[in-house]
Amino acid sequence: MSEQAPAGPARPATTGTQAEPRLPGSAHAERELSELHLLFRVVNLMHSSMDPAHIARITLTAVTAGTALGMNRAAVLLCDREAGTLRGYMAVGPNTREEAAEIWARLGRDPLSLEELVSRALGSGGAAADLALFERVGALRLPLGALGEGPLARALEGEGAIFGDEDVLPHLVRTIFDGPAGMVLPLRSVDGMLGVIVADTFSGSRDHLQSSLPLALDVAQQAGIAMGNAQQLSEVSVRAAELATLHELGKKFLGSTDLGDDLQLLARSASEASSARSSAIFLAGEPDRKLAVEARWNLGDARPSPELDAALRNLAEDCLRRQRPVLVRDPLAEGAPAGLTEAGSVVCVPLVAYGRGIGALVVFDRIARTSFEIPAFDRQDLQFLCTLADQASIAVENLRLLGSFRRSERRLRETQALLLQNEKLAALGEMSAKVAHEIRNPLAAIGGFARRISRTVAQTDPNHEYVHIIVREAERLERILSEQLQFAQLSRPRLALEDLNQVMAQTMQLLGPSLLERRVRLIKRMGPDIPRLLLDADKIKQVLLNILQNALQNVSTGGRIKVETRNVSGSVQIDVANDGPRIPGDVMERLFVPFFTARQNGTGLGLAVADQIVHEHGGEIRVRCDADWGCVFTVVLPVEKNEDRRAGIRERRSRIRADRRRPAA
Amino acid sequence: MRETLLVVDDDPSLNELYRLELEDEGYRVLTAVNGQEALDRLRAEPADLVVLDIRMEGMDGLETLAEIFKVRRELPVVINTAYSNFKTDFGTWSADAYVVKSSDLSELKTRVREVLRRRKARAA
Repeated sequence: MSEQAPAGPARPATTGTQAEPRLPGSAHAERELSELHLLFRVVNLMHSSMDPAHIARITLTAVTAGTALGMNRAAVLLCDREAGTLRGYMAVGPNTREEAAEIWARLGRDPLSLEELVSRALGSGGAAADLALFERVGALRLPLGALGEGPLARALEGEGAIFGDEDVLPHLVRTIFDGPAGMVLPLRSVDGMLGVIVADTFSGSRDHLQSSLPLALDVAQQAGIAMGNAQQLSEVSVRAAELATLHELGKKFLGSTDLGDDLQLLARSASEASSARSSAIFLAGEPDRKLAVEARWNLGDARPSPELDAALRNLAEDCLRRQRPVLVRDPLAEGAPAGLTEAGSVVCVPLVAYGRGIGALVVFDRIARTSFEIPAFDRQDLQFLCTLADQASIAVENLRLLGSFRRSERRLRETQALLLQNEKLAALGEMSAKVAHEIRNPLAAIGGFARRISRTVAQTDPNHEYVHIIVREAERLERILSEQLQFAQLSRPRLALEDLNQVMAQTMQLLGPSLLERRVRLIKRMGPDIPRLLLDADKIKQVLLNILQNALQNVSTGGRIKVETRNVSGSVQIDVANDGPRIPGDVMERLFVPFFTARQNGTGLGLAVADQIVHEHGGEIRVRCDADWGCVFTVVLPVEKNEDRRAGIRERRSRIRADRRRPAA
Repeated sequence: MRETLLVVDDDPSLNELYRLELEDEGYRVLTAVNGQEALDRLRAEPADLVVLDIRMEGMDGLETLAEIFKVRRELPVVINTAYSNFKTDFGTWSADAYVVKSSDLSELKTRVREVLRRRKARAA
């Protein structure tokens, strides 16, 4: 046999639907020859393809085309060992006798080559008749364990068989293949049984079929081998693609420092490599270990509904708790929870790094790779995703560890800086105290004499202004010196029971002239129920003064400052708000850092001093931006701690009184 | 009759400034640059009020204060110092007023006037 095999059907199709008459000897030989031709060409065509669906289609076309095998309709049913079923995979042929007659007639008028026939069928996706049959066959699901004794069961054991009305065939199969006779052929690859070919005729008899059985068996055998090879190849190419994905991902993870990017990449790779429309990565957060979606991948705009999301989270939680992968091939059939039924097929694998569960990868809604494939994940997808998850988990955990390492490193550096600063401040304090005396005296002399001179110099004299400059600058230097001293001389507070509203009022009085000068309105809201607090009135005054001065510098001329005292469960709060511009975030963060200042003529000590004093009182200062007010400082003084201190002081006092009484007695 | 003030400060320039300014206020002003000189001055010439610096070489202001009180318990003293913390941390309770040094002498002048007025009122 050669490549010059004649084109066209092995034998012109007759227009008849009747069985052919018996042929004389030479004609019989001619027929056998043409059948061999047909077989040869079919086999050639089959082995040239590596797509199982394509091969199945060629096989079925060969079985039904022409008269060689005398079949009108044929189907491939494949064993699905995971589901334990024999399922419809492909079908070719007219649905009814009338359709068959028409096809035969067409073939007679316009003889097509087998190749043409196959390519035309594949190209157009099959004739309408084929589609109707395909739908009926495609819905077939026969439990492998309940096939009984008939020809179907025998074919699965490797034995081709003819069937007629008297044979026991599963009802569902017989309702589709309801011709007077038909055959079931084993479809076996090198590795084992793949499934069967079922075919029937509208017109042939059992005997007639019996004579074509050997040829049909040969076709089926070749088809089985070709399909087995193709399946293996597609399996291999899928595995190769998966390995390539793993390799790529591994390389990217190794070089990456961004957890978010990596998770996104993982979600995408997992989806693509397992032909899923969607995926999600859940990670357990600290400290409650609650799962949160950290990355998603969705083909197109599809976004899972809240119900599905909740169901996926439950699945992920379960999977992580048991640290075992979960495969839900068909949520609807397997009675999965309501939300999950939207997902199509689902695989969930735990992310485990260094023996610790850190999250879960959920992949769902599988896309059929070919139109004949069932869109469900299988064990192999599961295995791939497990490998992927293992590899990714380590990378994710490493990045998380790196992140937390970086955070603690930063904290350490900050603490170090703070310690250094405290040390510096202590040194500065000592130095300030020494220097203050040295500087303050000459400064007082300079400023003092300048004042004397200014009184004797006429207003019209240009020197009048110059002397004033000396006075003003000396004042400024003195002010800076005072602030430095305040900071350096933060001694232990001298506590007494004070009325905070009164302390506030006294402080605000000090500010009166500046308020007038800047035409700033001061709004006072003094709470009526403020308890008396044990505090150092001078120091708290200093706190309020510093905050108020800050506010005054922040508001524009004609602006507003609001002062409010409140009794808020367990604490007394003093708000100082101003309607000046908002404080930028980076400045806000460093407001209380000593020597930090956003102003040109600030010392950077005012708020640092205030903060330290309030801390010594067991309270804190909060700052926030407000919609109505640009910036609000809140001094919080705890009442409870205050009472503890009062109790302590009462106790000490009574001890002292007791000590005094003793010598007197 | 003009009241006599004794200003004690170890900075001669400041002493000069205080003398001029307080004389302008109508007082007679004596000065001393340390504690010992202040005590000697007081023994020679009784004053109505002492303006006293605290940080000084040799005998400091607090010691001087104690010595002054040994001789004249009723003599009014206004402490004038660069250190605001003496206000709360030291036994300066015995002084009549406490002023933080400044180039602006108005507070010092006010305090001196107040203390003298109080004393006069009590004496009357």
